[in-house]
Amino acid sequence: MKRPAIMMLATFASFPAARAGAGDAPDLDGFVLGSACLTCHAAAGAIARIEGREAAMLARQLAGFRDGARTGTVMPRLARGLDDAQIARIAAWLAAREVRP
Amino acid sequence: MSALTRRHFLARAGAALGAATLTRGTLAASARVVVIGAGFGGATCARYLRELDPALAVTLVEREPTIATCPFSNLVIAGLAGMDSIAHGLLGLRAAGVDVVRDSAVAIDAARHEVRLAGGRRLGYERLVVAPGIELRLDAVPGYDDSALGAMPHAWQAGTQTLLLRRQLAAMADGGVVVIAPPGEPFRCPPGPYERASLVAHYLARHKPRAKILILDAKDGFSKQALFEEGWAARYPGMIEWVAGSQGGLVERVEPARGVLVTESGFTEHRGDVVNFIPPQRAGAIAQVADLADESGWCPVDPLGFASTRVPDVHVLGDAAQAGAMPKSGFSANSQAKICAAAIVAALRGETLPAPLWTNTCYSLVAPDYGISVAAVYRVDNGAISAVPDAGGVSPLDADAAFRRREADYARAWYASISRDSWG
Repeated sequence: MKRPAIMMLATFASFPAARAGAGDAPDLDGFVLGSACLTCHAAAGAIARIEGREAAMLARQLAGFRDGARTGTVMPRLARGLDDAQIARIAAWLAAREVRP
Repeated sequence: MSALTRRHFLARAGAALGAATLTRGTLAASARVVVIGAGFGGATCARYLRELDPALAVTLVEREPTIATCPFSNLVIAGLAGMDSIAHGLLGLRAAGVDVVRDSAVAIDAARHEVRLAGGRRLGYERLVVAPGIELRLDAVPGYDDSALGAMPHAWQAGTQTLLLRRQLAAMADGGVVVIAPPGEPFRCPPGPYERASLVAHYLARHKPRAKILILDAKDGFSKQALFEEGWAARYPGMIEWVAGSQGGLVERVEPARGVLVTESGFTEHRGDVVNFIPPQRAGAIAQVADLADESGWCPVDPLGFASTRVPDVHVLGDAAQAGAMPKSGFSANSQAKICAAAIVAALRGETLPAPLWTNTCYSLVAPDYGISVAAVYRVDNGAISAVPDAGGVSPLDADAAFRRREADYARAWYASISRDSWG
């Protein structure tokens, strides 16, 4: 479904998304930030599963941890290391991922 | 799949760097990546290499049939869990399409791009990932050599040593003294010795309440110190004594047969009924043999993809690597492994790796219902991995019981998750 847009972008060789557009190449741009989340969030239990959740919701939660609107234990400390653009990339990468049962 | 020769690979890699129009996929599809070690770093890297590019031929070399983790091994030592709870098989890696070879790597032929195995096989590679963990230095403290391992177990590589220390604690009489002697920096799992003291105290308080724990430290401070000391005062008052290195804690020599540790130029002798001596460490044996380590004993790497600065087309991950501000932890190794996998896939395609972030969170259990943590986010700053300012930090002091319980629950959830993320 996303292919026409990606092919259009691919003409701009310096644009990061163009790299991800080649064939079935994975999105390294999101992976290098978002994959870190799965160290703690890959199994069911006290820590929530977050793959495949809505991107806007995930971004809101992360920004909330960072800005103090949400309380937590470790997450406020980690989210303070992220800017808005990084939060958006992480949220999009997680949202696009299938949940492993 | 036809194997690429080294010459073809270089020619293609060169072309890929020069021309963005190279057909992507061809190169990566033919590339062979060998991973040495199936701990947190090696297993994670192998799994994510296959996920990022299912056409890659990924071979993982591991000597053991199952991996026993140092994280949560303190629960086994304290009698709160069995070895099976920290053992991980390698079937999940096989299911991910990783070719798992049960053997040990004994040499790396960098010129030929080959790994030599103890069993005689040679594995060719376009990229090699070395994640061997640590080797204990049995030449660093007089008296602590091979023959000391039975009388003074280190239990710093999980397995038989873990169970040996457990048995010695179980056999000790009430009123006995347990000595724990941690090394100086850098070493695997900086908060580990103090979590160990905590959980051993938890065991002793219930079964041998007159026993004491003496920590003879090589250092003058330790990870999460204020939080540990707060927890010890609350849960095990009077049971744990910590001696700083400059205040007589530095162990200069041991006499395993007598259970004696000598400090202060021989002026003081401490005797333990159980002695857990944790010696200084260096990168695992293959890193030494293959000249990946420098005079420090650890392996210098380029921070972005953890490529060795000493041997081309070889990456070093986890405890063995000099990873700037990142501590030597299973979490760090897992985080580094993902970025390394992305860096290898990007390089094989002739792409540039987008700027990554690494994370680390180390949970420690002061008691089964009392968790504390330290967390940080890392990035490359001026060519080195540095903590992102204003992020990270430790759990608050004076937190209520519910907060400590929540972090203990998260510690267990973290262990389940990272195990799945690493071994599948």
